[in-house]
Amino acid sequence: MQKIPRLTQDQRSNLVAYLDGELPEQAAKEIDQVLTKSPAVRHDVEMLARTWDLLDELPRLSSGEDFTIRTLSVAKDEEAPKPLLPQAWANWFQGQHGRIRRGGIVLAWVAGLAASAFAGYTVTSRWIPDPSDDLLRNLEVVEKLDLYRNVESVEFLKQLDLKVGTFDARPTSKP
Amino acid sequence: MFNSLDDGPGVGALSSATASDTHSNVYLRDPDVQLMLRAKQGDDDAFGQLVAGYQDRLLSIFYHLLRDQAAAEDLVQEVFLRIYRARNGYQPTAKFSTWLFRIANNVASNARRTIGRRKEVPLVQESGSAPAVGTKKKVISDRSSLIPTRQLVKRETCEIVQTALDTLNERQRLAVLLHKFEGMSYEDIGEAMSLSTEAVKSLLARARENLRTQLEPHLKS
Repeated sequence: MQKIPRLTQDQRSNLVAYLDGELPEQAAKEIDQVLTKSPAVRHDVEMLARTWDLLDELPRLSSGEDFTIRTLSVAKDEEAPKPLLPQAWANWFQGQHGRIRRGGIVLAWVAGLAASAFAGYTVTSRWIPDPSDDLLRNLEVVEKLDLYRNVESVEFLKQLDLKVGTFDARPTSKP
Repeated sequence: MFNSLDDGPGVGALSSATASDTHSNVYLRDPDVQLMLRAKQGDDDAFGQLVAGYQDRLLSIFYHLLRDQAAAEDLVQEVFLRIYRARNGYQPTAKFSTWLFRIANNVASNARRTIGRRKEVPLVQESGSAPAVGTKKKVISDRSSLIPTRQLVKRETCEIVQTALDTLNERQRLAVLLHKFEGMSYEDIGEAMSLSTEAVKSLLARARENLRTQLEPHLKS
């Protein structure tokens, strides 16, 4: 009885390359010889080939008619020199919109508080009298207060004026 | 090997430019390389042709990596924007498609990291939310399959295959998609994914074995 040849380990690992026509001629011939004599190996090869053919069922996709135009447009746009102003600023502002808004709110609060403080100071300084203002206005009197305390009454001053002429505007000349 | 990928245009290419001068003539035969060279000279129509030629191919790959069409479209656009930015330093030291898919791999890796951090975009959508497929070919094929039973079977099969694909890790999935959808050789996949050809062979072998395990019961039924 004729012995059925078997694939060696190397030949088994080369079966796919054999199917793909990627094996050197001598190695392919050796597998050919085994194939002609071994139904089991033929089955293996057939299964490998048929399962490979099933991959033809995988869908091939289409990217649509305008894909080429869009890609060219993006490529050219990427290389076009970018204007720094005003578009760049506009983009920057657009990107920072949230931060700018929050910053604006904080600034408005600070300005409002400062205005309130100024208004409060103005109002209080105008309508609420300061006790030291009276002292300043009557500084001369305050300085001579001890002297004035010695004056007992207006009558006394009148008599003093008559006798000595203390309050006479014009200096009196004695005859 | 490559010109501009992660870094500035031409940085990687300049160091290997001398060694690859002999190969550069080969790459000049690539019509997409010619378009890219025209784009380098400022021809935006040529760049538009490249976008139109690859946008749906890239979209399908990104979609099956992310399972989110809007996110996939963003990534496709990002790939083309990177190419546009790098056009001035472009050197034809590889096939254009290989270069493009390497950039796509980098973009996808970045997206995965971002998604991992933000957890915003689901890696796998609900199976019910089918992508918007709009090619004329697809519309015609849909109309030809309006028989309900046939449509149902097709949809079920599609879901089963998608689920099986989702069981692969992301590197396996990308390798599978590049091989299946783009018909890329192991060598080209290796260049696109920064892997050796041997590593791609091993990656695809494991991926295909996983797919077989997942899908074989459905084949039998």
